[in-house]
Amino acid sequence: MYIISQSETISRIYQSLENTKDLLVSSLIYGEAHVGKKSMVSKLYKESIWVSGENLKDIQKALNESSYVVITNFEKVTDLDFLDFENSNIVAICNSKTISSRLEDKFAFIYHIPSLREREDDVKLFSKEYIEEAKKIYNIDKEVEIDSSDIDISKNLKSLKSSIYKSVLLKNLDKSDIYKILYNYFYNNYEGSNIYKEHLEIFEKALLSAGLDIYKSQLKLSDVLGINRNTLRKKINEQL
Amino acid sequence: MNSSEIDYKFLLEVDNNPIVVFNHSGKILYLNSNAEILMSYASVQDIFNIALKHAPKEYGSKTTQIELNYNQLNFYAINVSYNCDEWIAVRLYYRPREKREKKSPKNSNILTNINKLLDIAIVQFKIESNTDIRLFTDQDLPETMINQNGFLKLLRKSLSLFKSTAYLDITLKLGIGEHIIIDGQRYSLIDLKFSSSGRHCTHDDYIKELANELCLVSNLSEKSVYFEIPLIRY
Repeated sequence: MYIISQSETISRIYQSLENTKDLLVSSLIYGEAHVGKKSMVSKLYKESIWVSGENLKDIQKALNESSYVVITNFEKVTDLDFLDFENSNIVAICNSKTISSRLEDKFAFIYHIPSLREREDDVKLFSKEYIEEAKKIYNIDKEVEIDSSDIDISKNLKSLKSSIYKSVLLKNLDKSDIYKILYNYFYNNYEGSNIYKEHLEIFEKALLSAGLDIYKSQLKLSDVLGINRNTLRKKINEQL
Repeated sequence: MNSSEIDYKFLLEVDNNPIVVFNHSGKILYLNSNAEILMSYASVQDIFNIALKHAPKEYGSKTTQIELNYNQLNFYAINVSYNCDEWIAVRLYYRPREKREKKSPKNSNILTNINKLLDIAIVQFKIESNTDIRLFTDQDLPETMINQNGFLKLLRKSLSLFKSTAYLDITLKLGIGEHIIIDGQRYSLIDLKFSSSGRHCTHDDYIKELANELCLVSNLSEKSVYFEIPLIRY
């Protein structure tokens, strides 16, 4: 069973879809973009013909060729009356937070997939998955912990994945990686008449902020940095 | 022959409408054969109370238009009569039933296990509702030809009417002694009933229309939704 979810709602939807996969019924799955609609359907409906709702002719062709059709981007279908779902197993995937009653009447079953904001447990589950994926891709062996403030679920799984990959990568850069990043950045932004001062802050601001977070005291920090306390205070005033 | 020889009791017995005669304390003194059917759905006390409520003030007879529903039995009026204090009679007038002859739907019917479709619809219903479902189904029901998509749509819409109720009783069984004629062919019926303490009425017209398209007889009352499904096995 497909279980990349801790949500009871998702499990029930999956079970219901599984129950109907051999029947000649039409189901509509809707919800915000990137909440896992397509991946759930693809687990069960691999054999169906997949078409996009952008092109009515493609849908019609698929319906003529097979009784098992998955229509993605259903929100882009322009003419509902044009589609005859009788005697077919249809799964329509719609990227929309709500649906019209006309659309609802077209289908035997309607499923709403909640956003990640409504699935706190799933955020934890997917974060764990993506951290492991990112570690494999970036060849990282040690444990990586992600700050909750670095997690972005504004665009559901899409933004969650990218924020976690980014966070894993940033937490595991070595000196040469940072050098390369800075080199590329400077190389692409070498314009103006005050470049030294402008670009120095990229380095200095991060160095001072991290030091203050660790040592909490300017006196201690000036010792560690090996600079005069007054110089440190001046730099903090300038940069932070 | 004179009128005193007419067997009036026989006429009452074969009357198409239920007739019940109570004594002053609500005990049944007489009921005709149609009233026997009614009493399997309605309580004696309920019918007695209705009779008292709508009785004429003086001896005589009074007819009142009133909508009464007991399962699939629907009445549009009652007549309450008495000419002494020892008995009171009530006659309930059946609402004419929808013509039980239908035309077969377009050729999209498939031999289907109704129990399976009902189970699927309940799983889907439970995603969004905490209503406690009590199922009374005959698991040995024969399969019937039905449009799966349309029937599941009908089940979803019907169940949604009970979304906010605490409980929902669902009965699925073979109808005894009932039939429907479709394209001149006589078919037995499967009875499907959803009932609770109340329900929403938001999709009633759509449900009736959908049931009609599927060749089902529908009956929607204040607290229940009832369907008669033709048992077609060709």
